[in-house]
Amino acid sequence: MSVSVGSLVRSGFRAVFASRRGSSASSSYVPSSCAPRLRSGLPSLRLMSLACLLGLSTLSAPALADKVPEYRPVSGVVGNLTAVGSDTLSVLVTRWAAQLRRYHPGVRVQLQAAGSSTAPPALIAGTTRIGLMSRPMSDQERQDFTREFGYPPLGVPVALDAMGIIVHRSNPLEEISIAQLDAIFSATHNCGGQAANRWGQLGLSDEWNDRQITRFGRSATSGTYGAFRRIALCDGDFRLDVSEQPGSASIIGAVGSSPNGIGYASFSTSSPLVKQLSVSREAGGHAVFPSRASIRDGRYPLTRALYIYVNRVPDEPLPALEQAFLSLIMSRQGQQAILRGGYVPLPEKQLLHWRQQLGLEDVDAL
Amino acid sequence: MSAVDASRMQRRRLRHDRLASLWLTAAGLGVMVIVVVMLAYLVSVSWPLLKPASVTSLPQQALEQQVSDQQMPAAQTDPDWLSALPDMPLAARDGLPPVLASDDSTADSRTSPLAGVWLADDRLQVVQQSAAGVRLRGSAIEVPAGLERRQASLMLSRDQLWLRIPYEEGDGLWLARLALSASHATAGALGDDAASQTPLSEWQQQWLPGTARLSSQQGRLLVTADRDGFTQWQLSEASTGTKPLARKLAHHAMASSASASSPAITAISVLRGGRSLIVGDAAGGLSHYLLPAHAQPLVKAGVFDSDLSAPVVTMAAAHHSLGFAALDANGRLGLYLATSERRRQVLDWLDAARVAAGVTLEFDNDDRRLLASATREARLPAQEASLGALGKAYAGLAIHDPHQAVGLDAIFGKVWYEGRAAPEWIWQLESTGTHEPRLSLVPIMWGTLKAALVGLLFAVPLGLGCAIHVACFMAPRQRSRIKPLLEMMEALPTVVIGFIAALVVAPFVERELMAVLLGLVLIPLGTMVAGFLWTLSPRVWRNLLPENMAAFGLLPLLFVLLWLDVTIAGQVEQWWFDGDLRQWLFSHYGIDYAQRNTLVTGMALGLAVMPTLFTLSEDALSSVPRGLAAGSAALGATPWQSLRRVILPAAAVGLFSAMMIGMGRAVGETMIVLMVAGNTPLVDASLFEGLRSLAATLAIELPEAEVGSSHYRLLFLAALALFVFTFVVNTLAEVLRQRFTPPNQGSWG
Repeated sequence: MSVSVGSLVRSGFRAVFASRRGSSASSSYVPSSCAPRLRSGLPSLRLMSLACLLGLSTLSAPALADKVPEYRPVSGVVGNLTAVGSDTLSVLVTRWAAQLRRYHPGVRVQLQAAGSSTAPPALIAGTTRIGLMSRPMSDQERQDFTREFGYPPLGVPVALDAMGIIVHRSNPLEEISIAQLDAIFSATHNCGGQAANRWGQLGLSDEWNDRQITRFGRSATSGTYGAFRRIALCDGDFRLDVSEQPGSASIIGAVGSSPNGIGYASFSTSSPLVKQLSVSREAGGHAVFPSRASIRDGRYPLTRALYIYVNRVPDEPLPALEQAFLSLIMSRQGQQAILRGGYVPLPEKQLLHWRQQLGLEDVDAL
Repeated sequence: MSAVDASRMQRRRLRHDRLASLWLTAAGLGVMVIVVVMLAYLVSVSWPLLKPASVTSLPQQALEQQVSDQQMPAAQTDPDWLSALPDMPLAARDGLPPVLASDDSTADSRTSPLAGVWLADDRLQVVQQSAAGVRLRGSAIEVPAGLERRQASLMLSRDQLWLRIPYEEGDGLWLARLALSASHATAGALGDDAASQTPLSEWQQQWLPGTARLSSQQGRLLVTADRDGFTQWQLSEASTGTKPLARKLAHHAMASSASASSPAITAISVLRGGRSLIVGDAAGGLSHYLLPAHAQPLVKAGVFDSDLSAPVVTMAAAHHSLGFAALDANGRLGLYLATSERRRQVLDWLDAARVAAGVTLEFDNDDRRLLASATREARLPAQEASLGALGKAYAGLAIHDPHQAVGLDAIFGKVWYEGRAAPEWIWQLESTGTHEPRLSLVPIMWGTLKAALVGLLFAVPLGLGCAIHVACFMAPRQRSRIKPLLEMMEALPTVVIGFIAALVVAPFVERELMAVLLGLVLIPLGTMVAGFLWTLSPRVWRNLLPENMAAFGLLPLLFVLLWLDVTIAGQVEQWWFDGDLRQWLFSHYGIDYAQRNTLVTGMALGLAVMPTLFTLSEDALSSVPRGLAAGSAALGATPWQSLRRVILPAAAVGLFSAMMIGMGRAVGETMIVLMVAGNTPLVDASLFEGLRSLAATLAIELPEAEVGSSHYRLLFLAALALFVFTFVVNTLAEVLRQRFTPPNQGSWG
């Protein structure tokens, strides 16, 4: 009984949050419930609208604090901007490109999203100055870049993404720990521990005790695969019988149709066929459900950053076009676009730190 | 028409005829040229895999440049750097260089910002250089007397900093650990520890017995060795002060057989990743040990064919792979790869005198150069003390060995990888470049053949049976309608078949496994039983259904059998399998069931390959001379007897070649296997497990493989294998068909 109530509450919670995802947190929105009265010129007009706004702002999507500045366009930004790399980031880059074009109509953005691994070769060959990667550069890639240019690449984290662990909707499990994920998915068990083949080994009982665990995952070329391996498997190897699916949606489809299934997918894709689990870092520790808030403040363990790598000569500013693009991304408008794209904006402190690194702070001081 | 016009027309016709034949010949030759060019391209991309290592000596000016590249970043070579330290209680001690921390989690061992500075009162202070300047980390540590301070080393492993200093005389190693705080706030992904504070706990210390020969990496493996054995220690990861820092995990004595005494250990080296150990002995032999699992004793994986005859003096591990170099007392150098104990190159390099005076080998950051320099205590007076970890190098080698992990034994044999309990065939490559790629082609070749065989298992009975019926038993009018319909099935895109099989059929089979398996048995058997009963029924009934309409008479029977199957499946499952066949298989026999498995793949492949088989078999059967069939009927044979004894033997070669072409088609089929088979590279014979085929692997991995890397070239090698296989099979089948099919007697049917 408590299981169903809990899942009801959670799905209600999710429904509330899901409906908020699309709404903008701009402060100029006035809700319709307040609007009809405003026209009659009541003396408490301002008070009422203020009350409505205050009430709404507490319910709206995680508001970006006021410290994140707006984007200040500079003149003279024209040209072709090429971005090469991850298809995870391509969704966001499309939005940012549209925003950039609104400020600077003379800009054309060309996007080639063939995977994170295509970004370093493109940066090294000079095809692009903006590389999109959903994982940090490996040592080899970083060294190839350094050998070519004499200075290391600059990797700017621009957004956060998280992987949710999903099981079939009929599965009574609610939480899982990193050690249990390692036991389920790993062949080498670098985090310590034993292999788990039955749901009973995760603490389920009755008819679930003897049921086999069916695993679904991504292919090795995916950034999600790499991030999961790094965080949940402690850099170990996956088992060979993890069924490979091409994308998050197909993992959800596969788990949704397979009662014994478990898989990992981007947290923002969800479906009534499956159930997301809370994840705890240690066995028996506090399990955290993936929500924007818990991802943003780092409580949710399976978080990864999405990076933009730029070729910036040390002690020199970037060209105007790339600088404007990054300035837009690290501004309030850019971070709101991340919200609308289904990912999570950076924590404020990190955002301000990187604004400083990129030299965007002194521009705003003007 | 006049005679002139006639001859002009004749000439024009001849010209056109010649032009057409020229054009067709050129086109045919063009196709052959394209095939040859493709083959040549595939070979050209894959043959560099088999090239051996190329090793050349570095000239002197390259050595000078190398040393300057290897030295510390400028900020740390600046003598004023030390004075920039805030709150330094005492001046730094002269003569002792700072101890640079190597960060085992990355290969940039010389750009870690942590360093230990020796203070004037013999304490060590750890400092960190950041963009904001230099700051102190932790309190200064009292280092006991009697330690060889020049051989101190700092190692950063996750959030712990280890300081190791060997004793000056005698055996022993002094170990200290400082726990740094980690920043969990962003799951370590952003790499910014600006928020981390000074350490949580004080230095902890421990003395380990054993010689100063030690090696460790990533805080995972610490080995101390003496002449007749080595001890494996496990470094503790907990930050509490009560547990010892290092716990003895196992002691390995160099096992000796009853007759021969084993040579003494002279050098050991832990390889990158901290899971493999190489032990060099006094006879020049090298042994490979690895960790089969986390925190387990090392096991001996194998012995190298080292080609060194003198005692091994020193070894150096590469930074990006499991390769290493070993130098023996005669100055002979060997380059090896630990995985599957491969020897890459052996050459006579240094002279024995230099080696006897003390040599340190080191790979550069790219693993492209190997440098030899004098060890610190053996440094000649003319050489200056250097701030870098390297002394001045006096000899170097440029090594070019990009595909060292690839070899026939690695591709086709079982290899013992780190973290595994036994040698296995594993295909598991990550695009970010793991230091030990697992590149056995056996699982994916096995998967390809398995998928093709199961697909043929479904396609051959259906296609061949269909062809026999259509060619030999069906009335001509129906034949002319059914045959094009079946051939149109060939136009069905395999993507659609794969899609439907993956999203509809696979879940259905998982849910109704009993019904499906029962149906596969019940329907053929039921049809045969029904046919037998039909022959026993009264002639009056049998005359109702003419022979050439028999196919249509089977349709109601098929529905009846399906209904029967669905009805009794539940009951059978209840009686024999405790209500759930799948669970019963797992509980009693441990048979795993994957939703996307070989059975469903076979069904989908069978459906895709069947039209090809049908068309070719039907052609083969139709081209049997009608005279033969007519003659056997005239001699009183029943249709079945004519079929079995006359027609099938006559068409046998054609049928066989049809099956070969079907096999070639099934082996090369990509989309179905990509979507339905689950892409799990397993080597087993179970129908309920997934598989990974060559074509699907190419489709998944080739777009993301780095151009020119081992992975890329290996995929091209797999493509070459696939190309050659299907080319040979199809060519053979065509040749057989052309050679042995009797000339067409005209379509009489």
